[in-house]
Amino acid sequence: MNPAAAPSLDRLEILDVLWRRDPTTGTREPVHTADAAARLRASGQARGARFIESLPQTGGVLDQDALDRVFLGVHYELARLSEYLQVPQRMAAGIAPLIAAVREREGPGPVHVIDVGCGIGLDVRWMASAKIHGPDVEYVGVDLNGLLIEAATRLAAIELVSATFVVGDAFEAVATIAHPDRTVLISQGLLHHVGADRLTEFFSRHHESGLAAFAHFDVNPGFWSTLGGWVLHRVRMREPVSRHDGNLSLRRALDAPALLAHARAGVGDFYSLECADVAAWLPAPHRALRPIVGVRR
Amino acid sequence: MMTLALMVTPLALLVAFHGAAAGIRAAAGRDGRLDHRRAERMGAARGIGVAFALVTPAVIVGAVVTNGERERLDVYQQGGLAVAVVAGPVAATAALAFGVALVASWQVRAFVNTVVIGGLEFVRPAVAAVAVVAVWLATRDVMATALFGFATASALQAHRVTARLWYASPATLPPITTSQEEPHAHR
Repeated sequence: MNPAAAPSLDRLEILDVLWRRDPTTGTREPVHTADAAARLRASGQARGARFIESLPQTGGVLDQDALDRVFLGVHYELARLSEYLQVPQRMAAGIAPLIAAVREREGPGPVHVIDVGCGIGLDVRWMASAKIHGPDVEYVGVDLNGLLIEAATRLAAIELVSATFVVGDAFEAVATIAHPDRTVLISQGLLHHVGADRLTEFFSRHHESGLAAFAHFDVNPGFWSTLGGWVLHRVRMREPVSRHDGNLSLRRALDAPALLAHARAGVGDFYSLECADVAAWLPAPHRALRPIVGVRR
Repeated sequence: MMTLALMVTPLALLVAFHGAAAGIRAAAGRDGRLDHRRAERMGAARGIGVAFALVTPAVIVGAVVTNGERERLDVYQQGGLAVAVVAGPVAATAALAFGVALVASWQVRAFVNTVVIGGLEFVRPAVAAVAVVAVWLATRDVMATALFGFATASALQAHRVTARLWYASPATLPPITTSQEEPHAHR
């Protein structure tokens, strides 16, 4: 499949338009209601636009406390939903062979696991808390959203979890890895936010950085994930943004052939790649998220 | 009195189980923590209290209407049995699922959490409706059906009321201090 001809799936989610930061300084910027709503309407999300227009605002600028409440409320719920699906366990099992491969190739020493687009860091906090990969693994979470990174840092401190969280862009984070030979890059639910038009570039950064391995987990599109996702969002999510964005996320996820095409275009033959959609007659929630895995040759 | 106890006890257990589950659901996903045990215990306790508070008006009306008449008591006993026959197995399945989830592998736990427990939560209103229909079929009594319907509809609000009273907003995380909680191992 030619990634350049791939249909655009870049329908915006509500949260996509509620966080703005200065690209130069990284500081948070105010969000103008009209701008955010217009972006959602242009993306075909009229309901999301109406929700934004219902948020508290002053002088056409959305109230920051209200936005903070939305971001934290949604991500706390999302973390709990991930726990129901045992996503941290799924990811930990999926990257264990990659960590073992790094140890075998590079010898003893710390292995770094970096989670890009980590949100409030549930996955790396769980892995660090459980020490699931052994004592010599260091966990780092990176996210563009400083509010979520602050929450992740506080949560790690409160529960004495050894994980570090930093604010950063996923593309820049890949490009500036300190120990690429000993680093496994992971993500959960990030790829459909990167967007089909930037996925190849995203994967090319992996190759340029010399990363040892990567595993990006995203929803395995299909009947059961769509149905199950809808049901779970109905019974488990109370925030209107969670329900809106959650179902949209399920529809934005790319299938394995598309992901492989973008990854191959980005990393060339320098990485062995693996990604398979799981066709199942019966629901298999433990495989609702599946990774695209790359290991440097 | 024995008849009354036989009718009330299983219904009280159903209300308690439903309230606990509703309270745990209300408390879930409000603080981002890995360790939910304290929050779930608190949520369950609040949910149980709310559930019993919500069904109390129907119980009081039933007691007043019955006024100690044996015939009316028999009607309500039949109605209570009908509710227990419909809702009891569902509650037992949910309880079994909770137990399995505690000890199973993460793959099985993912299935139990989402397909079994999530599925039961999704069909809860339908189960409640079937239970009320069962009361009518068992009693053919308008008052009994109305009272059980009222009690059932009230109990279904336990999650919404508990969430609104205590979990309307995401938790404010405490500031980082030198004295921290003990770490917990997570499966």
